[in-house]
Amino acid sequence: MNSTAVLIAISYAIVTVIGVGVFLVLWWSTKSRGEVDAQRLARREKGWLLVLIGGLLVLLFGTIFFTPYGESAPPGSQVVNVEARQFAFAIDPGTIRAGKPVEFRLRATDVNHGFGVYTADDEFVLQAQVVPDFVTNVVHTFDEPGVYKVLCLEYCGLDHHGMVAQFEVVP
Amino acid sequence: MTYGGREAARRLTLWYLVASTVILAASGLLGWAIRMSQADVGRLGDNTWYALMTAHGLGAFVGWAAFGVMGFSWWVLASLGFEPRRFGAAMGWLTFWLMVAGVAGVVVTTLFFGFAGSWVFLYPLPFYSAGQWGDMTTAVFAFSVLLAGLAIVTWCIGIIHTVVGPALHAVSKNPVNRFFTSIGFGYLWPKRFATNPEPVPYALIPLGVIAIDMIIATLPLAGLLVVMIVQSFADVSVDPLLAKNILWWFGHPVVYLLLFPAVAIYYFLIPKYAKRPLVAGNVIALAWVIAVIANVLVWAHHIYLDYPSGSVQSAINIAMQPMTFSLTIPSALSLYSLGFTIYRSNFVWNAASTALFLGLVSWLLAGLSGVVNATIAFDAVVHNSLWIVGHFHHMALLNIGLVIFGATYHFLPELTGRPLWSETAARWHIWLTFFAGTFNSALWIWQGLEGAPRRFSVLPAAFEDLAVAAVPTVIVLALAQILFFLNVFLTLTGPKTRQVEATA
Repeated sequence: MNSTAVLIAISYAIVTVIGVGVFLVLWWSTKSRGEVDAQRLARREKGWLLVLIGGLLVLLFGTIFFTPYGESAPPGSQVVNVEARQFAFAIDPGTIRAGKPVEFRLRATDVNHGFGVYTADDEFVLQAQVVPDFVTNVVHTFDEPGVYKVLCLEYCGLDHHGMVAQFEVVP
Repeated sequence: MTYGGREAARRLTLWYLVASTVILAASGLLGWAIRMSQADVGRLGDNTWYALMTAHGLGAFVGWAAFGVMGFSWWVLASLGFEPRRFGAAMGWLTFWLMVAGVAGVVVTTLFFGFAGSWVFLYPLPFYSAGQWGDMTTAVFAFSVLLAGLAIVTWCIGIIHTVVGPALHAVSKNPVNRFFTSIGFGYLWPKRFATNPEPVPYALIPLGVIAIDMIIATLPLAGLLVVMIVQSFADVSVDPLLAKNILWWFGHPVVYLLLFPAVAIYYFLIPKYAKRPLVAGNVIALAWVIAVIANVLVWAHHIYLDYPSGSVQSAINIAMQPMTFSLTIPSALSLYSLGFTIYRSNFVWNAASTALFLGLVSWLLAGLSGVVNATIAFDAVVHNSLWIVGHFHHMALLNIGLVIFGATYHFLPELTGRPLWSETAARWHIWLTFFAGTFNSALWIWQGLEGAPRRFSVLPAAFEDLAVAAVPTVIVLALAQILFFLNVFLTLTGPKTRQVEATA
């Protein structure tokens, strides 16, 4: 599993356990009925709002700098042109050097497609959408040599699932 | 003929309920078929699979879930004293027939004419059919979706007409002021949006909010659909990136067309079962002010991975992340209020209240997985994977769906004057749906984290195992829904209670 996916899985598992625990407490509390100070709890909404805003700001500033936009390819980068059409990719050149940045220039000639790169063991690497009439640039450095698969990750019609290609990363 | 009032609300709600339940049966069956096919049980042809996916998506999302909560909204409003007047009721009926016609058109074009553009019909795919359907089919499909879109608009008009009605007790006669009063502005600016003698019921607020938002959200899509109809016959086209933005300008708020009326139902029913008022203050009204603005300004989080060179899309997308985060505030504050309304209350546990309680659990858990989607760095991994499918089924079936089931079990006896056929069957239905549905979504979520792509009629071999593992779960989920259909049908056709017969 991709390392970011592992992070998501662990984080989501933790918050799920906490969330289910909260609801179990809530369910259990209805067995020991009693008065609650509704006015006080309503006022504490403000405190909950502040906690929430704080948490969201932490998540925002903890992740926004990892947004995969606008990474420019340094001089001397490899350039790979990718043309997507129903239901095939044309990848030129089909060989990439490991350890050196590569700029994929993605184009679609008909409908929207997705450019999803996986390792030979089906581990997700990266993806971007490919919109007709536009060029999308994606920069990535492959550290591991080997054969990489490309899957279309935007539904594009009858043989969408069969729209598969590959390229090779060499040392 | 009933023109308005409580009886009109009752009839509207019942008709919406019956129609949406029939659509649930049909679209659920389609969903079952495509899930089984992915597990190689009754493998479907590729275009058939994608056509069924298209029909299932639109049918379940709009024809069942949206239509269902739109129907219950009439009854919640009437129960709060906001009975539809003549014009509102007329809008309600127009909505009904437009929606039924729209769903029928989608069924015909997908199941009989092979339209398989997916339920988001991402432009220009409907015109690149790979020989599977013709442009005329695309035109009829687009017209059918347009009818469903118009149904949403007429519903919104009817709802706005109803919430600004005499039951509002707003001091101002100005319709604009009255509308803002109806969405809770009086809690924040009590002098300018004054009510006398009672404040606006909390359950009213989400309905007004979604009504105005859906008008704003739907009209551009209607324009795109008209262009698509024209393109079927003439040489016109739309910029694909603009079309994508227009689609999601509608496509995000329509998610909240399901959620906000469901929240109104929570706000209305949970206090009844807890036998205490909703624990809420003024801050929750602030959350709804955020909602009414942010809901129509966060569309691009669905296209975070569209950032072509030479466009402003990446800048728009980055702005969407904090805006989308802000939309968690109404949900988080609502869960706070509803949770503390239940806390240590003399809560009445039956099938309906259990459904609502379990719906709240799912709202939290599905909301948390939604925060992952809302974060660009994480979406870069889960986008268009089965994680997304797990997330929205979790939200649509196990939050919105459980609200619909709970509302059905709660309201059906008072709507029909007939007792629920079986409380026991209802409890079985709710618990089986919750557990099987949650497990079903969990499998998708895990597959998505492993990298399994969505919208594949045949999954890559590496991701097939969990699709096979889902088969027993999907069977249990389907069987559980039979209990629901039986309960609705046998309640509708059962004997009336003595009390209702005496007053009929």
